Amino acid sequence: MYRILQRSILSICAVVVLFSMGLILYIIYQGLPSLGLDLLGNQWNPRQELFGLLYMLWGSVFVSSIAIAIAAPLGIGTAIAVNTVVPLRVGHMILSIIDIIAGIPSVIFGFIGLVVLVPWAQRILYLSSGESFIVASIVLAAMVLPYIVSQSAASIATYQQRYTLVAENLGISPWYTMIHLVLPSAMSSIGVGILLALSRALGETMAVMMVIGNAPIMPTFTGKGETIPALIALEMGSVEYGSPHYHSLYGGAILLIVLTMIINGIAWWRGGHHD
Amino acid sequence: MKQFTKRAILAACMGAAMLVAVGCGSTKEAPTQLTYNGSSTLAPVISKLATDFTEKNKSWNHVDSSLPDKDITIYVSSGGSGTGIKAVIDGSADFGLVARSVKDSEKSKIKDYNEIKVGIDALTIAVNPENPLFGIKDNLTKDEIIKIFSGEYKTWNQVDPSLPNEAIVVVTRDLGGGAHEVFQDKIMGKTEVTKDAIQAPSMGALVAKIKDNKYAIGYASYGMLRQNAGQIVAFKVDGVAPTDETIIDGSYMIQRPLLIVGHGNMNGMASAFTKYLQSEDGRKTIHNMGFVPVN
Repeated sequence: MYRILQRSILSICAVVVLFSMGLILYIIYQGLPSLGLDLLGNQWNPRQELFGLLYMLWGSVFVSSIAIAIAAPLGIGTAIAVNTVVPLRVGHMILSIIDIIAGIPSVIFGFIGLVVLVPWAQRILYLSSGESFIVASIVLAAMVLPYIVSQSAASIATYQQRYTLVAENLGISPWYTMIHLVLPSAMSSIGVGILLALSRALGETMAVMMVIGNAPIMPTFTGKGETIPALIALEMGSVEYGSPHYHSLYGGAILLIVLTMIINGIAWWRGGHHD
Repeated sequence: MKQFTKRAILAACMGAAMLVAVGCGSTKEAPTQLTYNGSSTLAPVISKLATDFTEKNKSWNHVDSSLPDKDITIYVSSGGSGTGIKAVIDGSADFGLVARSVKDSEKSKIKDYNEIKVGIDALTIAVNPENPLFGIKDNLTKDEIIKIFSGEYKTWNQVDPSLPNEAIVVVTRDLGGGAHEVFQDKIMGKTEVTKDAIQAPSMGALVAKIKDNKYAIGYASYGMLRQNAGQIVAFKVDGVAPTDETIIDGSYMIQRPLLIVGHGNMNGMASAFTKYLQSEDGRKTIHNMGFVPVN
């Protein structure tokens, strides 16, 4: 009886592994003809057969990094607050509200960004058009916030349970315990949450595509730009099958996968060493 | 345990057998269905017309008594104009939907080449009604359009000294897509559009940008211009305003044909559906969906 169960579980696992490997191999196979130094050039113009992804790659990293720089302090701060100053029941409520954000489709974020933040940036920052990295980063920050908050809050709660009773009995103040014991212990797990949020941000397509302007130029805070997922979504529909343009879009996907793998690798390594 | 495996294999075999059987069946019954594949601009129109046609008539003999007493089945799939032509050449679809002129090299590959023009799609040079340039003139020459879209003019006062010193915000569709190809062919020629242009992911997003920003300029489709009458306005191009008449007689230049291409003589069903496309109802649907119907 258990042998059947064991085998079924094994075959499910095999299917999942084969499927993921197949997917990655397919992308590599499709992108292979485009791989080379040309792919890292700074000119993207399919009409002139120029397929340089440098600005889009940089754009992806840039927008995700600013988003994390905004979301991380907010997320960790919220996580500390719900475990300390906020009453327990309110804390649970706050956490579940933030979790709901994770379930909102990204097109909704993009749309809110487009009708609220883009005109706002246009007015406040005196831009000729509000589509910019700063707007895209704010939208992305809101989207990845739940990942950081839930991971941090859970980890902080765990270490608080471990230390609070002892610390209180020794007469150590709760904030001293938080800053010198709980946070340092929870830091590696919080870091993993941040890295996962970063992978999520790198892959986000729709919301970013709607507010970033999709111009293949050098990224600046208030300027327009393009990310690799946005480029693929925008151009894959009309590309000629099997053309250098087609292979280059898959080439972009390979770059993105490599980048995400590196980040996940770091997260795995950090997580493994400390917990 | 053994029995479990045997049953699983049996079930898998039966499933495969059923798939094969279904596969065989559909090829034998091919004569009572029509398949269309191609342009993502034209496919939704043909799809809508096919739905209306099917709902109205239900079976082929209801359209024409000489046709078989079988349910009407019309498949429409969208994969781009190039895919449409390829589908006709390799026989995977009866007809290709093409939103551009068909090249001679492509025509030569299709036996007894036959094309039906069902409509025209046009692009308009559109701005917000409060756009300062639109306040002083309603016509742009091809040369002015090239200078605006290529980024040679960066601010509105470079177009005309009386205008404010505000940056021109150029909005386009994705530069590899069909709409841009028309604009590039008919207006820009060899000149490239500025790298700073916003590439809108859809015509709707392009129009939204123009509604939202009075310093923006972009090529909205003729259908979008009509749907948003009053909220966006279009310049004349070389003195010709985009209207049904100027688009049909060809004097308005930024346009492309919407074609159905296939082999030689159509069978009874195909010609019955084509007749519907060209009927009063069909033409009305084409017009409602933002295109200009032709005979």
